[in-house]
Amino acid sequence: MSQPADAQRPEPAPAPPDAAAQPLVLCVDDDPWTLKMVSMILAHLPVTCLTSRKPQEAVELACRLKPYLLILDLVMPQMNGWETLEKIRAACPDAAPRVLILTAKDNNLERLMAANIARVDMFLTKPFDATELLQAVARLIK
Amino acid sequence: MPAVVAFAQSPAARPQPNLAPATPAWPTPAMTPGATPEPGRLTCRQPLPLLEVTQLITRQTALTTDLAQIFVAAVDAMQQHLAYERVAIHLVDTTNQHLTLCAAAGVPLEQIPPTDYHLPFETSTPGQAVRTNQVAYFEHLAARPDRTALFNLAAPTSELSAPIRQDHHPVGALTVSVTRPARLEKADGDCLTFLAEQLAAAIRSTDLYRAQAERAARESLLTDLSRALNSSLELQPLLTQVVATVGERLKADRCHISQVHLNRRTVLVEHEYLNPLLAERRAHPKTLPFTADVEQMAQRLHTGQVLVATEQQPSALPSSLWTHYNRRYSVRSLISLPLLTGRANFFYLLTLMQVTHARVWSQDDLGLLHGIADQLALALRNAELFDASQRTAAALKTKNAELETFVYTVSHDLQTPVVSLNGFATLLQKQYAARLDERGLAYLARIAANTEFLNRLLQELLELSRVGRLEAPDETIAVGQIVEQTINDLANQLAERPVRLVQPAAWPTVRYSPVRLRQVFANLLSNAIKFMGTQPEPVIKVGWRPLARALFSVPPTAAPAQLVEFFVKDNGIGIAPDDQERIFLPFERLKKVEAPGSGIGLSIVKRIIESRGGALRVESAPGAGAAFYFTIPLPPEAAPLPPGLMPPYQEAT
Repeated sequence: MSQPADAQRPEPAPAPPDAAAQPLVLCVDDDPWTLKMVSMILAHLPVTCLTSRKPQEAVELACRLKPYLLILDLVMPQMNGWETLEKIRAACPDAAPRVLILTAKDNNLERLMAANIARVDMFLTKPFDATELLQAVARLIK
Repeated sequence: MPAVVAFAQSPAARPQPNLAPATPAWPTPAMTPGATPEPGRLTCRQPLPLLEVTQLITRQTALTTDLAQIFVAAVDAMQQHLAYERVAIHLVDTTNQHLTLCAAAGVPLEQIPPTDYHLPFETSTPGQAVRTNQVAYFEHLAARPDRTALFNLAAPTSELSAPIRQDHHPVGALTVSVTRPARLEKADGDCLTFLAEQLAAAIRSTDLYRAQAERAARESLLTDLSRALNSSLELQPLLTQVVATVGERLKADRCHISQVHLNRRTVLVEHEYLNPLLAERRAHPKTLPFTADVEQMAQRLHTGQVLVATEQQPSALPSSLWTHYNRRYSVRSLISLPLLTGRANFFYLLTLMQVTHARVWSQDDLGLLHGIADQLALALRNAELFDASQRTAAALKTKNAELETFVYTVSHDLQTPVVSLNGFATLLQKQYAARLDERGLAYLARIAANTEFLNRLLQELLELSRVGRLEAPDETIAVGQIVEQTINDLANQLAERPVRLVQPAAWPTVRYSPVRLRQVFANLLSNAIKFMGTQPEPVIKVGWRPLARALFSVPPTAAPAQLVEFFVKDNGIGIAPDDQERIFLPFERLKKVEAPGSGIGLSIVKRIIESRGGALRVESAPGAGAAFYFTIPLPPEAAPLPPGLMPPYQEAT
């Protein structure tokens, strides 16, 4: 038997006073449930959260809206995370968002690539802890 | 649960090392040792800079568990101290298809094309080093289709690559690249091999640390789970608790426990956990249709097999079930573990489902899951047993209560007619005695006697059922007084056949119900008198002693029990060993004995004694009399007695 949905979901954050002043977080993942979860978690922070399931669209959004933080999945069918990041960096070098990788792939290689080559700011694995994600994003937007 | 990096690769997939020594195209050294270095000569042959780099790598390995930091420090140090223009570390990808760039120095990261992030084995120098498991050297003097320079540089460069080995197998490569006219030599190859060993040590160290941290996390999870399981024995709350704890700690999106009845052909799902952030919240149906393939799956699970299904490989699950989970709940991977409690046609099933990604459970994770399943199965078995025992106890309690009420009601209701019988029999005796002849009077006497007996029987039955009910509060009483009163009451019986009563000089003071204690003594003494038989010198002895006896109780109490033990001994006919248990049962009268009495006395005494934390026992042999011992616990405020105290009895001689 399911738990009553209302009792389980955290209360939504109150309406932000000035949406324009809040940093923008762009979240890219092919799985819609992850996107939902992340937006629910980020609702607790003073950020505006934008989600995208299509990497190409994400590249355009990143260039146009210049998000402060990019939350990126690595395993996506059309274009993987590294390529997406590369395209964003190539297309608009002035955007330079902070990057948080959120992926199910957890091995030395991806972590090393993330840290040394792609120079991302944080690397989190799935399944993720809501508190961990919240703390990581909070640290990054400071 | 993060997957541990798979450095141990299956032999078939590993690039086969070419064990025949390859002859690299070494340029012959143009100078003898000790001569001044030529321009463009590298400093690797000088020991001090190499020592510095080695020290740096070792220090980093000791200080940090982040492999990325160690690698970056290594390449930067090599570039600065050893004057290599460009340094790169590559590791073999987990799919074993190519090499991935992990650290680079000497080239701005923005200038590295993404195509260089992954190098094929065939056309690159690092690839050659890994393929051959030997130092590889190549001079890129002109652009070639079958070879690409590191970082795709157009200028003529020389490259040297040493394999990084773990257990003698290449897992990556350390590569340096210099622009002509600078040259690389054999000494550089040795130097790189040496540094590659340092890097291998760093990889091993960080992997070990990681494995250890993961193992500690798994153990902590098992401990927490065990604590949660031990907190309750009740089946339903336990299942709810288990499903929530396991689901949350293992970070599953959905978790449920099903109950599979093979003979009843049902699968029941009553306990489910959903990740609170999960937007898809439709509940699992309460029952699953028991189709043929579900039955097959259940039979397999009953043997202890674990079931794993992912969106790439859903075949382990019946297709209808997978479709339901995948389409309705967006489940992308699932694992089911049977929890076997030893019942022939029934088992529990723990199922973990992931919605956000197709989760892969590593070997260590599976080990953890098996450990969890074992713990759960044990806890469930205990809960089942407890549940059964609770139900039995409840049924017994109800039954007992019914019986007691019945006895009480019946005795109570029978009193009225008995009183009436008694009354009219007495009236007849008093008022019509003159009009009855001898026989008539004899009949009447028999009626009266039996009515009297019936009355007394009912009184004692009422007493029996009342002993367990309303109780008078305890008082501090001098046992001596109680015994005196009892002896007075029994004076007639004692006088009938001159019985000698032997008492101790002093009696203790206890806290007890005076009425009950009197009943106990009265019953035991009157029994002793009744069963004297043909003893020419009947003697009844009474006495007592203090006792401190350790009790084995749950939970164990540190303080031993403080008791007073009383006895009533006679030298009458005794009780056969076979009968010694039966006498305490109500309405058990030993057939062989001719003595008045209803047979309830001893059961009343036993109930009185035991309901106050004491014990009643008998020692006897036929023809050798009987001795009844009973204990009364002393109040806690009494002075504590030394443990194991077994003093002699206080009795007169």
